[in-house]
Amino acid sequence: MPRALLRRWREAWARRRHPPPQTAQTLTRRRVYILPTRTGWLFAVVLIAMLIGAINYENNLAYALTFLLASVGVVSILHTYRNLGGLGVRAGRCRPVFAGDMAVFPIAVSNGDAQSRLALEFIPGDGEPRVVDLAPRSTTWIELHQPTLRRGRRPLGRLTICTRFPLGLLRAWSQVQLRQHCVVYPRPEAEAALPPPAGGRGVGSAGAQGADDFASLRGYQPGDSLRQVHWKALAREQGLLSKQYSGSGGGSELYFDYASLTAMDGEARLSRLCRWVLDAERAGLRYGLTLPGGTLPIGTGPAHQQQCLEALAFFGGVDDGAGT
Amino acid sequence: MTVPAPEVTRLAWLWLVGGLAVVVAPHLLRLPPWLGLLCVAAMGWRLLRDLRGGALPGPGLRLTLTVGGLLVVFLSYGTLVGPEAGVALLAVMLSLKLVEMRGLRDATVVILLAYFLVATGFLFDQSIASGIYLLVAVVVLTTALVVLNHPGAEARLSGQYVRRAADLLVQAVPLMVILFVLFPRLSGSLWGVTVQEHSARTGLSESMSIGDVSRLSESSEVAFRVEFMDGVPASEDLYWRGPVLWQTDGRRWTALPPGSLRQLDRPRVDSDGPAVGYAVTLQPHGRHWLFMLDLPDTLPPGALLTPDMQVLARRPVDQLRRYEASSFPAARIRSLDPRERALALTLPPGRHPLARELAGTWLDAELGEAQRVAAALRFFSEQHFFYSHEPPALGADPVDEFLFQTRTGFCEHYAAAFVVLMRATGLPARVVTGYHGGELNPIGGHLAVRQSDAHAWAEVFLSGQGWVRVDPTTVIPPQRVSTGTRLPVREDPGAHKEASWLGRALKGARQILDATNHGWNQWVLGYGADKQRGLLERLGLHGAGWRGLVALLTVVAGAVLLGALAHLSWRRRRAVDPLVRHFDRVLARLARRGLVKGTSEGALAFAARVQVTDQEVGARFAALAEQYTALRYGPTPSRAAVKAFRRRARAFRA
Repeated sequence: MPRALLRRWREAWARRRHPPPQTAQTLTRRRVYILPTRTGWLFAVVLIAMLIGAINYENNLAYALTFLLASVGVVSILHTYRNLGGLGVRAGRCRPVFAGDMAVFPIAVSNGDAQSRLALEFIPGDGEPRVVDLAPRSTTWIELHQPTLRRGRRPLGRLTICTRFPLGLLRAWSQVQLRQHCVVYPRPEAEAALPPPAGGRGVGSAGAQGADDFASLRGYQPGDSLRQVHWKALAREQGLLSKQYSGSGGGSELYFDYASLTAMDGEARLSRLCRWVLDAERAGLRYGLTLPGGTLPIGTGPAHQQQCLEALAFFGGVDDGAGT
Repeated sequence: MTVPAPEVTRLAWLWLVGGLAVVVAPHLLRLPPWLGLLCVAAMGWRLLRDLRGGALPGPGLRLTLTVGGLLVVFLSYGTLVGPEAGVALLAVMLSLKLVEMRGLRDATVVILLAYFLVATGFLFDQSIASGIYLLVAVVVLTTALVVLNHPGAEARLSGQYVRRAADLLVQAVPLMVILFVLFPRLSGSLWGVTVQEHSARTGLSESMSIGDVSRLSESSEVAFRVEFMDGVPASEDLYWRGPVLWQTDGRRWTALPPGSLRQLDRPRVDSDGPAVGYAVTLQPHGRHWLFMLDLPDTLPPGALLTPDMQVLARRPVDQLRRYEASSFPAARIRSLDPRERALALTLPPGRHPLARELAGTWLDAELGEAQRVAAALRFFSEQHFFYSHEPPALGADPVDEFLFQTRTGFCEHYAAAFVVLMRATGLPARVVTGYHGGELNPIGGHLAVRQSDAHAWAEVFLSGQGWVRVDPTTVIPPQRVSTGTRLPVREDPGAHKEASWLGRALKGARQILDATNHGWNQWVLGYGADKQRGLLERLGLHGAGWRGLVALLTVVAGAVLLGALAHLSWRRRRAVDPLVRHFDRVLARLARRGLVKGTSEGALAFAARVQVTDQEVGARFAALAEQYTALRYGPTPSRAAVKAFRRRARAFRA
């Protein structure tokens, strides 16, 4: 009986310490750790030197100063802890990206206290740390960037939140695992002509992306080929613009089939298909996608495109089902 | 993964330079001028660079600066160790460091060392003003540290930074007081280094010269303060004994060298009358003297008594010192060593012919010992002698000139001339210096003795009576006191007769200031091993020693910390509705079975889900969840309802 009880406690403890990923978490006292920094140790050394001086010279004000600073060090434990403890983090929805791009994880950070929290550092597994200040009773959205290498689902992974405020003598930190992931589409191939429309012959290699007929400019979208980028506009600091070409395949129906790309290996095929889906959608064509194990019927529009791209992202059971 | 070195904001640099300037400023007054100039130049350069931008110096200049700083300090002090040179080195190096510091680490190190520099400031000055000033310095440095640790620091938030630093410091005070009171104190320093305390001003010295162009010390600086155990003695008993001057060359009077003092026998002292007990808080003066009332009885611990009844400390008084002692005002030194008698009769050969002639007339009149004393005093009072703080300079034979020409002088002139006259009539006599009187502070209840109370009087050895104190200055009638300043003896301590309200107000203000200083000395500067022992005994921990202190310190400090922590977590928990707390407990029980409520899932929706998994538990939970929803989102529930919910929640088993 006692052993069973002990085990139950231990399990409960472990669950509290490392709860399963959730979309929102609060940094409770149990999950905030705190330890002196290198500066903190240096501070201690300086205080010891001051104490020795005070003892040697029997100098009461030097004693008083030493004790005051030592007490400030102790009090700053509470301040540093309180700067982090009770912080709320909530995962936002991630926009899908193409493999190789930066996945952007939006996170809502909320401070329910009447005191502001300053210099909170958010460190994702790899990628740039973010430093945030929070006003009293406020919520701020931050975006954490993580590189993506493979298609599939990219979870944010373990996120370290830490702070050294106010004195830098101590570092309080906590690790959270948010249930949050970014859908990573395959990297579209740089340029590939669309296959002929259904029925075999027709548009041919001209494709939707006719290289000749310049139509218009629009804002750059992930997946746009670098060749489409209007570099002169960028040089004029007008932002990233993509050149649009009027394809000649309007109205025709395209079938993209994984099985038809026999000369390439798996991932390359997916890149090619991705390119085709993007180009077809941009050209306003109707298209369908056939992968081993399933077919998406002919369609068009953003929702259809997303369906196709997700099918490509999760093809082969890559990371599929994680967190669903 | 490498994190880029944290940037230091310009605001942080400005606070840092400002903080260092505040800390270094009081040291500048003590440093040699060129060192001070070097510090100011370095800080100014940095300030300009932070305001205007510009490059930091390269390694070559850095090395030059470091070596140059070391060299300059070494040339100024002849050493790099010891308190003065050490503090100068720290101040100069920190200032020079400003020129080249760049990252967060550099800045942090500078602030931590600046804290240390603050502490060294107390080696030179422990007054209230210095305490307040350096506290301000600590606030500025702490603010700089706060700004430094805020990467997004903005000038408009400066008030917030200062408040945060002040919060930290104020909240640290309780723990600081506990540490200050209970941290075990040693008596005696670790390796006995002392600081040359500020130009140790005293109204006294080991010698006096009659007739040099000199002014009497009119400094109103306090020499020491005295608390009497029971009542202040009468004014004629308030003679605080200092150096005793035996030898003279006709102009200069000096004390006996320490060697010859040791050869003299300890005199026989008759103690008549009641003893007076008191405690003296002596300001540092850099000499060995400990002042006690005539004649010393119980000495302060570790003090020495010379054969001429002066009390000396083993080490120079370089720090504020408090001692308890007692004296017998009515006691007399009865014995006179033959060597002492010889010393006390010696006059420089061939000097003071007129004085000797005057003394000769008294001898010719065959006056007795006491009559000769009376004759000399009568001479001072009946001839036209004046008392002045600024007497004219005297020529070759100052005593004769004073007695027969200028007839204007202060206590030293009268004491010296009187002793010469006595020795010329064959009576052993000596000059005693010290302080006389003092001002009673009605607020603090203590007697403040100031440098302007420095005094000189005479002692004559009368057979049958021993050494008798004679203060020839007191016989000058008040109308012949020229400078308008008071004659020390005429003043009754505690009596204030100033007519004008302004005078009274000024005096009151001075007394309040004096009482404050005395309290500071007593309770802050004077707190040490003795007082700590006394405190422990009052707490009933007799002979507990430092172990007792450490135990007490641990208990009290631990209690305070736990209290703070408890307060913190209690405040946070209380912020949560008790209903939520009770319901959370139920949820935790379910979670143990693997039934976890989603964050966005409502209580009722979750209950439905539980029912799918486990009919029986789900039904019971659903009832609870319904009650919870009703209580929490309905009108404010009664206490009884919350209590009933708590009971049910506690009884719930998954």
